[in-house]
Amino acid sequence: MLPFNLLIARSRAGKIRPVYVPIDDRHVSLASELIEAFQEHLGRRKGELLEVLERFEVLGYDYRLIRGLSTLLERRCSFKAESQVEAGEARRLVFAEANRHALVATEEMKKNVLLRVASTLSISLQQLEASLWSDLDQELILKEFSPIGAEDLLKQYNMSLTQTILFKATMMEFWAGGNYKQIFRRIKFLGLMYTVEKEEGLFKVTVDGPMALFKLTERYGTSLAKLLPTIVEAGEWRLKASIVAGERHSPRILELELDSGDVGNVIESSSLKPEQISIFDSSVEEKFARSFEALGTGWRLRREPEPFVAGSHIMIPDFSFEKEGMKAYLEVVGFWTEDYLTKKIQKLKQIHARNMIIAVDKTLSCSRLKELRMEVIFYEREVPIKPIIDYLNAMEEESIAKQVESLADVELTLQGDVASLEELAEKLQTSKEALRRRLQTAPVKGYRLVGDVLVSEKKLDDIDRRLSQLGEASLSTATELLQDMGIEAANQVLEALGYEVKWYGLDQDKAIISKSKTRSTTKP
Amino acid sequence: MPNSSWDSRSGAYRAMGLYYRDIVDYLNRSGIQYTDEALDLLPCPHLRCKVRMRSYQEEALNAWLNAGMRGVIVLPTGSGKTVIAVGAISRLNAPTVVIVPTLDLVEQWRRVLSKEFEVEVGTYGGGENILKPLTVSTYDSAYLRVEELGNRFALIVFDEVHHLPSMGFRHIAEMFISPYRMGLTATYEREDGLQLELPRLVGGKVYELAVQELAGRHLSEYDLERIYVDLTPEEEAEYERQHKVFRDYLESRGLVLRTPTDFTRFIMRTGRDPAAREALLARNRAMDIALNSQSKLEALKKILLENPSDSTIIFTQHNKLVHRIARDFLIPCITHMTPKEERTEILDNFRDGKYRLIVTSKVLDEGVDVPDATRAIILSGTGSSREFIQRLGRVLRKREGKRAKLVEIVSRETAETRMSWRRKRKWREDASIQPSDR
Repeated sequence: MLPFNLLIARSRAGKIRPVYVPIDDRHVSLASELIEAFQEHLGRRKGELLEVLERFEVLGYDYRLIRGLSTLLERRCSFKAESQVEAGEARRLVFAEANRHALVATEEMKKNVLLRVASTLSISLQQLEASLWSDLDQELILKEFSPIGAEDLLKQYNMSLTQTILFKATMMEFWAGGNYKQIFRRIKFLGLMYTVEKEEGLFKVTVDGPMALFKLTERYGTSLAKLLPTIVEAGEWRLKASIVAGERHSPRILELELDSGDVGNVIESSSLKPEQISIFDSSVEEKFARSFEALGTGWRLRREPEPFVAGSHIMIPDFSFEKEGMKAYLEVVGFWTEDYLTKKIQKLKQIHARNMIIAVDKTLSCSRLKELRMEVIFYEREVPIKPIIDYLNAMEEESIAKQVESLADVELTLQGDVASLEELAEKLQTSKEALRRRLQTAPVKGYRLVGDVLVSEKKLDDIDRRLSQLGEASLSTATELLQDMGIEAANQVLEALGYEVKWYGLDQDKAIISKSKTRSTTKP
Repeated sequence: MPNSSWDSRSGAYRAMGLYYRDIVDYLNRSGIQYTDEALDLLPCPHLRCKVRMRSYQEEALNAWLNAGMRGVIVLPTGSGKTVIAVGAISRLNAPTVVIVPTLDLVEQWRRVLSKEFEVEVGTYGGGENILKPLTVSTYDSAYLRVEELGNRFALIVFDEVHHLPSMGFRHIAEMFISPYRMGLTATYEREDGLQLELPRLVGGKVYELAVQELAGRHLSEYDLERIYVDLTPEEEAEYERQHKVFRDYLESRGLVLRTPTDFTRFIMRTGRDPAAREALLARNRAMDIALNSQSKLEALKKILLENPSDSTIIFTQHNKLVHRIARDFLIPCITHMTPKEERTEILDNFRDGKYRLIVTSKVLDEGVDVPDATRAIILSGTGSSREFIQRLGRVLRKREGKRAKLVEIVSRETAETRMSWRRKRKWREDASIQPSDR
């Protein structure tokens, strides 16, 4: 955020737009030079630095741009007073000494006063003179400067410019592609109010503050500006804000419209410090996510899935589990108060959330949660994985059973000798598992299911014949042959044809295949 | 329900804090049962004190009480407005917040209130925030923290209440629910006319006393003197050169700057038009020369030497000149950059007579209690009549047998001359005392 007098914006026909600095060679080199100026002044007076910065203003750039960039860089600095004697102490002694005269009217009197004070402090006159005003802004020494890349500086500037416009915002609407939990946590933290509407499958969030009900007010502009980085963090976003502009006696409302598609690559998108981005609410959730993912269940675990709209409010479950069109949610209720729980239950009831698992800390009484027709899991310290897997499995089982049922009447006809189960399932818009079961109970005539592949009997015979011609062959030779014939899942086919592999070490060249019995299953 | 609106987001009628009193009155009058979860007053000790009031202070307090404990009291600077607020708190014996414009005033009110009521007084602004049944806050902090403070006090006192109607600060009055409100000021009128908002926000003007009614009776009498100085020949040449750049620009664009709005428009041009920016900078350089002229320092030196026993405050417009005077004459200085402790110490020393002289920029403008200054010297000013009166007030503290002096040092024949004339014109209307030009 920048001082208002450094804002560069254009307004036309009721719209306002920040004049973003382009990330081009000319401006990147300007930014680099400014950064360099700061770096070169480490250990030197602030006054000197400011003089150098002032010189940039006559280079043909807008002086507000130079000052804006300098302001951002100055925030990365720490300045300190450096002196023999603390400046305030030096002044106290000098003023007291000077006050013994009606007025220190001449250079000579002044020198005498300073000499007397210097000698009481046991320092030289020059040292005293250097100390006396060493805490004035201009005299401070640049002690530290935390560097930044030139492009990053320009992007940060563009972000600040946008925030500066938002200072004057009376309300804001936005659409975000994610990051909802952070966004709504931030809205709450900033004391703002919101409503959510679903518009063409997207959530439109309207934000203002409590006083906005009564009057058009810029009071929440600063908070709206502070919300912006969290929205931009979402990657994909769009916003509209009403900005108060013009003179005080005839204010106008201008519209600010921004879209990540337009400005996403010139505006800083991760201004939040790492410690501000806590991916997980609590260690309980973090632990759960780790152990669940380690199991490799085939369910895709997602943090902060897309929100449920509850009335005009929003509810974002902690996790979603997704697999082949199935979706379940997990909400971890760790620390809570009765008021919190009541509100949560109200919200959950409003949204009629389906497939919602709620994990509640066992040490806290939860009679109220039982009223819900949702799965409640109690936990102590850790959210247990097993009941959740059980729940997901049951859900999957139920879904598969339904799919198998609907597949029963479907006539399956195949073309070619080889068909992948996966592609077929996709074509039928069903799950692999359901299709497998259907094929086990009612196979397709002339085809056999070998692992995840359907192979025609004709092809299998052909393979069998070619393999037997090889006689005693190595596994690698057999695999090559099968690959030539368009079969990738060599091991499964070999097994189906009744071959056995004898291993002599780990080398495939030395592993020998041999037919132990006839085909593992009889021809249908 | 009066003044309230339905909010579907919270599922309730809501109203601005300002109307809390009206709504409670309405409910009581209508005999409607209700529970009040809005007002959450801080637990409050017994707040009584025996403050001695002058007759006009007593009158002002009574006028406020009779107006239903709402309204603005207008009294000249230095006439003891703080005492009236102390009287009101003592009568009401309830948690009170005082809103003031500067950190100096926070400290000053804190000192007075803790002395009078013998309690620890909370402060907001300038870093640490402490909430107590008696709390003093800056306007800025009250604006930022109104959600946290707004329902904790029965009485809210706005010192220098002419600040309140500004677009931002009026939120404080609108969002606090305190049913009892007092405004204090020496200058009710605002140049932008926004004082018309005050009756709604605090209550109307309930008492007013002009400066001439007090002079000589409760305040020391004062003389005004204006000293013209010429720029040195080098300064004059440079001033002319810079000012010409400015004039030429205005002429070439056919611009006339008559009102503050004209000037704002001109400033806005400087963003688009580099020539306008150059003209503005040249004008600033010219002003700088006029304001900081060496001749003024000579004149200042002369006055200080001629009156070696007068305690004197020197005012300048810019910090640059404060530091120059402090460096040249080794005079204690206060700017907004001065650390709080050092500032307090310098003011204390001046009060105790340990320091005879202080040089300061605008920071002491409002209400800061600097007793016993017998002379004020203005080296430059902004041309605002309010500022002029406030500064004047600094030397008007009651002191037996003393005539206070106000000296203004102005460069002759510069843009500044006009500014000074504007100040004085307003002052003449207020005080009807003829200045004695040298």
